Amino acid sequence: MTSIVSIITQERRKQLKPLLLATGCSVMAAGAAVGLLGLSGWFITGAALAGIAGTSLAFNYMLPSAVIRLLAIVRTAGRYGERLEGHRATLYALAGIRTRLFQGLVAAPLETLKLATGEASARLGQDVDAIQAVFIRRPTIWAAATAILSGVTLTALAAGAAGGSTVLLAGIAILGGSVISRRISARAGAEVQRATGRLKERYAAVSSAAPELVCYGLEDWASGEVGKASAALGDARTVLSKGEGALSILLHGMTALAAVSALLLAQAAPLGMATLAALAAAAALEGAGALVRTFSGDGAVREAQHRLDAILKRRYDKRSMTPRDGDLGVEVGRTWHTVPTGGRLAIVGVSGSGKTTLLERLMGLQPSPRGLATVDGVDIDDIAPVALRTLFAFAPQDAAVISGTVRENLLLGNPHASEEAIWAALHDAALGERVRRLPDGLDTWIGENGARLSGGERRRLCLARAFLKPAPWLLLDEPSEGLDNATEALIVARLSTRLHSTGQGLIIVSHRPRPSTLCEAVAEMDVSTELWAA
Amino acid sequence: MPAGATAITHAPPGPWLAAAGKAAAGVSRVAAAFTALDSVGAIGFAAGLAMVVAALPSGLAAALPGAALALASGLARGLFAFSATTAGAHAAAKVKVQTRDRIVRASLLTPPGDQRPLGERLALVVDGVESLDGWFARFAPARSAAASAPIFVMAAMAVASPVSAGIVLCTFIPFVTVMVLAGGAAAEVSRRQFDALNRLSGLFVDRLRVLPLVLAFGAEARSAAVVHEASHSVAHRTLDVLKIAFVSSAALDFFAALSVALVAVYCGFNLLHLLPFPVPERLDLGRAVFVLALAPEAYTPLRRLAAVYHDRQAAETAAESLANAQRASAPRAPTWLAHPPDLRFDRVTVRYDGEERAALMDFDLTIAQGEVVALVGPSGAGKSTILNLLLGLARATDGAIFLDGELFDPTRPPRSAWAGQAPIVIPGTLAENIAFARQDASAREIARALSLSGLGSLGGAIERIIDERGGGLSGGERRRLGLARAILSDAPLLLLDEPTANLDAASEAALLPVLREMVHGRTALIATHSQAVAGLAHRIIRLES
Repeated sequence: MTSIVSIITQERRKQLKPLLLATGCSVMAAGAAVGLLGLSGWFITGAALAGIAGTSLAFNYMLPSAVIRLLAIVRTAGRYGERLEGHRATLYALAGIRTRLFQGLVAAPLETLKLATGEASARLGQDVDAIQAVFIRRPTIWAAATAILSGVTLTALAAGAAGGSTVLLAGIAILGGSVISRRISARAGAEVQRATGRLKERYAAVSSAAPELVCYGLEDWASGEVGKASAALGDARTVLSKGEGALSILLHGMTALAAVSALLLAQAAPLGMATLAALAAAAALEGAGALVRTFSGDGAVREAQHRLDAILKRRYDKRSMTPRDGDLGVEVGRTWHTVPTGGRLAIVGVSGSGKTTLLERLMGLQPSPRGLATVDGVDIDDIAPVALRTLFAFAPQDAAVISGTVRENLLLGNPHASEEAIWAALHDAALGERVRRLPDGLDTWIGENGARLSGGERRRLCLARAFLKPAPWLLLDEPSEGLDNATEALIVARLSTRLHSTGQGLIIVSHRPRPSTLCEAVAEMDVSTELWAA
Repeated sequence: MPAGATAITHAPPGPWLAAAGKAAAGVSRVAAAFTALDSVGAIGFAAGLAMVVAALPSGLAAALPGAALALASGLARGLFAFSATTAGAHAAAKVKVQTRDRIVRASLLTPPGDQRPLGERLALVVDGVESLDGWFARFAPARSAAASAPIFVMAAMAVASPVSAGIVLCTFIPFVTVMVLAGGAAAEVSRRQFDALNRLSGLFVDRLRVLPLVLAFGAEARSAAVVHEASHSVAHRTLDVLKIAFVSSAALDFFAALSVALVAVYCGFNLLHLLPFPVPERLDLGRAVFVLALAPEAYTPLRRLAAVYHDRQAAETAAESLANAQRASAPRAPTWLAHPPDLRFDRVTVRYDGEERAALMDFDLTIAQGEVVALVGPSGAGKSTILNLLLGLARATDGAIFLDGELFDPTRPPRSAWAGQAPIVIPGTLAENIAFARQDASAREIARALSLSGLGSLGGAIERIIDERGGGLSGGERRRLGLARAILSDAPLLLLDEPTANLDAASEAALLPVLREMVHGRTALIATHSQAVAGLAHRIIRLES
């Protein structure tokens, strides 16, 4: 089983170069920032003392002012590099993670995909986004370490006690920040991830059902359902902001305390050194603060990892038997039917008797019990679903289409189909004329789930798509449903011609009599089949 | 861009955002005030530090007041930040919840043919609205603080050293120029990022929706390749946005650092009496430390603003789409019919954008109160389109419909009892899915609708759980679910779209008496291929393709 952590590790490894660069830049920027602050302090106090002592010419003021400018440039460049490279690594790693998750989703057995559309979208979206904190964290740790180390060194130069107090206060800030984050932000951050999932799930559900909801006057109910999830997300974010606010109190307080105590503890040192200690202590705490602020994302990261693991945690298919094209054997209504290569079988039965389920089992879209069907004598349960599916060109009952153009839908059947083959398939599905008259022909956008086509047109598009797939068997589920008699007759006649020329076998499910006339054999489902399957 | 996307005009998002923010105006002002107060805390801290430095040579006790002031100011800054963050979050939450509600309502009323894909809708309703967060929680307070806070800081500096304040004031010019330039460059880049995000979300959701199809055609690798391409395009576009943000904040950082150095050098020279030009002030160490500690704080409000610049850009880009989505349909009051209506279609034509062939052409029909009309004809002749017109799911591009003698308003379709071709399943029990049609229905009425539709006899226990993919319902059962809803509904207008499709002859025969009872006492339109079903009607209308 793959876990999200191992995927993150692998994707991080791919981004090693920008990540190292980001870390280097952040260390450089943090060091420069501390140096800048300390030097400014030392320069100004040193200059003041020199002025008071009347030794103005002995004080080399040119060097520090040049170094200040240099450090300013280094700090700016470092910070820019850190942010750019860090985000480059993160964004491309996230893109890789998204692809891997999608692959995981489609590779897992279909029946395990119980995730609602909205939830799936939230996991691949927000939950993957939350993971970025993991990537941003590393350079921040290095930067914080550099800031604290150089700050402490500078304060310790003024007085050992000042260095000690800086270390102590930085430690308290980090510990305190982690406590606050665990207490307040962790739960709220996790809740933000969950609430986003719930919100997407709710909206996807009511939005898909919008025509029915509006027809029955349920807009208020529907928007109320989404509103509840929306309010929950708002509340979670508000709590999260309290955690961030609490961190601000801690960090501002600690920074002031560190500066003042460094100054007081370095009382014995020259005034220039003491001022430098104060400024360096403040810088050290600011460096620690940048790290502490990343803590508030921890809850979200943990929850996101948990939610992503849940979609990866699946049994993957290890079956490896490759099917050979040969006789198809299938049990329908307790009778075993053997269909030779190129043969044709009609499956009939009352509504709800399990005809569609049978086809979906043949397609490996549902788990099939042993002994249900064989290909060339091999039980389909022993064949990997991916391999099994190459044997069949399927036109499902629900006439599902992808949101896109006519061409995109047809190319799903065969990505290498020629223009000629496409038009031939459309002709055989009695849809050629219709598509020719569409504004952009094959490249016409047909709307979500083919909303711009009629039910019958969608069905014929699915039929044409199945025609394009070069598989030994055509599997058609109610291919003429919702079609008028004339169109049905046309399609059946053309299908007959088509099968003669391709030599494909045919398994057809229909409750209408005409499609069955193409077949040599008719198998009847009985209701008990379904009970047995359950 | 697919033809389904209606031309989007880019209205300036500012007024829309301002209108959206009205709901939280009070708490937004609080957030802005506390953000600005941060600078007051900074002045206190710098003053405290300077007092300690000045007093330290005279001993620890003399330094204590300064130390206390610095500590108190540090703590006050923390409290101000806390208040600003939480107030900003409250304002954002309020605006987001309200905006989302409006967008959801508008999207429910958009005809399916004009809908963007579900994934894009999800991205707009959830992520698009969420990106307003940055505007209201951070950008708006930072913007209003940026207008006042630097002035406090410079005023405080001027008290100690007018020349230093003057230096800082002069360096504001390149600062503001950089911000204006960055803001102008970001809009287009941000729009491209928004489009890439939309596309990715649309792809994900669509491919998962038709996952059985992807599997059946062995298109896993091809789909993954498309997703890979789309997610990398998002990464690429996002990086483009961030580059602008990073360059501008780097430029600001640099100018800030340089002007702080300039102040430092000036203070140093002033203390050394080495300035090559005369100045009207003599600094002491305390004042110099105060000015130096305060100089970076003059830029803090602007740097804070620069840091949230891409929040602003993201919100403005989202606002354009949100404003469009909201405009797409006005809120409407439901039309409840008290009695079976009469209907008249007068030369009604329905044509989708850019399509040469009309889905329905010059259609005329008058239906009397309580009349039952069957619509028959070949696939694609416009039977479902006629029903969709009455449901508000399709819009007449020409001609007019009259309902009870009044011009039919497609934005206010009457409540009707409807059994469509693909009844929607909401995850939940079968009973909940039926109760949809009438929320006040009793358990007995639901059970009756269940059994009349034939769902009861198919082992459809009322508490059976169905998932989003219609899990466990066969095609025929799904049709019956639509029928059960129409049976339960008491609306006097009945619209049936091929009610017996997917049913075998025996099941259809069993359903006929139920249909007969359903049409009784209602005005009904039935689209069908079945002669038996058409036989239930008073009149049969034949449509030609």
